Amino acid sequence: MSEKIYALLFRLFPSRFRAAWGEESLDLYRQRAQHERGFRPRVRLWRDLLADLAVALPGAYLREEPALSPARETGPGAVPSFTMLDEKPIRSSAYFYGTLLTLALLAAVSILAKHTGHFPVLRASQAAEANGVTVDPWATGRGAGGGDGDTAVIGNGPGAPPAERASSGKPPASYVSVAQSKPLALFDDAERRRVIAGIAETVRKEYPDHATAERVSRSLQANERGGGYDTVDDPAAFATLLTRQLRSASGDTHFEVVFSAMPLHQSAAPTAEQDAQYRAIALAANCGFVDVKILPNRIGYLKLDTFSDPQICGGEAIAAMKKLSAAQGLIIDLRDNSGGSPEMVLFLAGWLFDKPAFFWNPRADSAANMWTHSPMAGSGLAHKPVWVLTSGRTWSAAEHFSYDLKELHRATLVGETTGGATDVGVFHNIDEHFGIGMRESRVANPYPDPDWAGRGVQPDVRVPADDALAAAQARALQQLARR
Amino acid sequence: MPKRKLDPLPSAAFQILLSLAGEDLHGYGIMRQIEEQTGGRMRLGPGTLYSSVQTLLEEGLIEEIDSPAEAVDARRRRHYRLTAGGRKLARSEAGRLADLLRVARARKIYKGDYV
Repeated sequence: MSEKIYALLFRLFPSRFRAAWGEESLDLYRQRAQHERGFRPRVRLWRDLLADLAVALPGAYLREEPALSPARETGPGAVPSFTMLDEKPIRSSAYFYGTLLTLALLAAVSILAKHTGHFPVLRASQAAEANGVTVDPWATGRGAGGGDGDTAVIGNGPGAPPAERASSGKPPASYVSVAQSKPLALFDDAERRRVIAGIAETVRKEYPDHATAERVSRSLQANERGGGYDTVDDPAAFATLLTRQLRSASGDTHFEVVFSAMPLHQSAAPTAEQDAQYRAIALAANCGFVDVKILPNRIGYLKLDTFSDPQICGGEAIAAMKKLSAAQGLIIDLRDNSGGSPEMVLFLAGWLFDKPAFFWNPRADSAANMWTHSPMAGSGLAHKPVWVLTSGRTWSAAEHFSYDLKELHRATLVGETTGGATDVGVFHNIDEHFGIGMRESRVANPYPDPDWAGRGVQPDVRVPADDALAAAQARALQQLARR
Repeated sequence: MPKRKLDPLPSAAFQILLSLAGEDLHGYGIMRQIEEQTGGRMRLGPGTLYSSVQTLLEEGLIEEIDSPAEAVDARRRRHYRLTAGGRKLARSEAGRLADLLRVARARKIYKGDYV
């Protein structure tokens, strides 16, 4: 029995070695087995044999290599040459087993891919990534479509949004489902006409400013009748062109026409499981409060990477703001902040004012949802100077925070222009593959500067993002010394 | 070419050369002899033993001989003999080790008997 086992193990050696030494090796084994009887000698024998395999196997295969070198050296320099390592041709059974193994692996991979893992968050972000659109869990989702279930809520932007959004995001309130894949219908004149008509109708019905809606719709339809889209064969390019025309005709950068190769479907509200998952992720990341400390000269420093849902992270937010209240001035570092919840934007901003401040937000449906809850109990920050650090990665809700503090002259922005997310409020499906996002808010922006959509927020002090903290600290020192 | 494979000389190859210094042996005999001369510390398995034997044969340091006449066993076993080159290499390796030992003694990290 054990001899058979060793014979099998010996097959691990290269065939050349087996041919030369197979019989000898088995003979050696037999002689040792014959002399070393009893439990302990047997254990020792097998320990020796296994150790020998481990040591000798790599060496035996390395020895095969030099067999090639003479052929290489004698072969003509530029002509490729082939050398068989074995004199014998490969056994036909080897081909058979190789094919069998390949098929088995292939089948295993496809079965695994099909039947494992139900990760809606992941799938939504993949689908969204394919479209260059970020699913935004925090958009208000008023359902302007009249509750006919036609409205998915997303936010989106012109550039690639920071990668961590997908992983740190709350499970979307509703998301693009990719479960039932249907092939894309032929993109032709009729389809283009249908999409234009759908967009015109949706804009007329849903856009807050009726005069603009009418003007924009007419211009699109006039273009279409004039044959302006006849040469656009690529649906994605068509969507981009429509986006550009809508924005220029309306002067509103919150328009976004989206094409998705996967059918756009809407699925149910997030499950309790997804909520629990979000809660766990948020709490594990300390709710985005990466660093909360008092720097020398009593300057408070808050590094915030996400605006988490205050329903879950209220405790962390209060603890951080109370700790920072001991400072004379506050630096809020949003350079790596990828956005998040507008409610957290209002909640944190509330600590910086002694009476409610108006935080304009293109994603909120009414003005009532744009006021901070100031004064906040226990805040010592209402009259202290604030610096906000920004970078090109400062995105969405973080731009909302920066924009309104700047317009209210409550903070000095130090760093780079922010990313410029197109935070649309609602998203309407036109058909299976086209949809349009637009500003939901019927509230006019009271501030002189246009908001961040597509253009970002300009800093007050422009320095490279990496130098922003040092620059803000220097300014803080100067300003606090004057007091 | 010999330089490349056996420089430095692997300890298994050196032990095989030493084991054949006294008498011609077959594979199992070499293994037993090595076990004996190392006080049981080294027991070569078939893979290591025959890899080394193959290399030593290729380099002409040992040679294969017919089974001695007294082999009454039914099977004929291949026996090996040390060549003059093998003996020379084993001697120079032993010299190298003796040098090393002198250095160890001079640095006072080894106080064994003088060889």
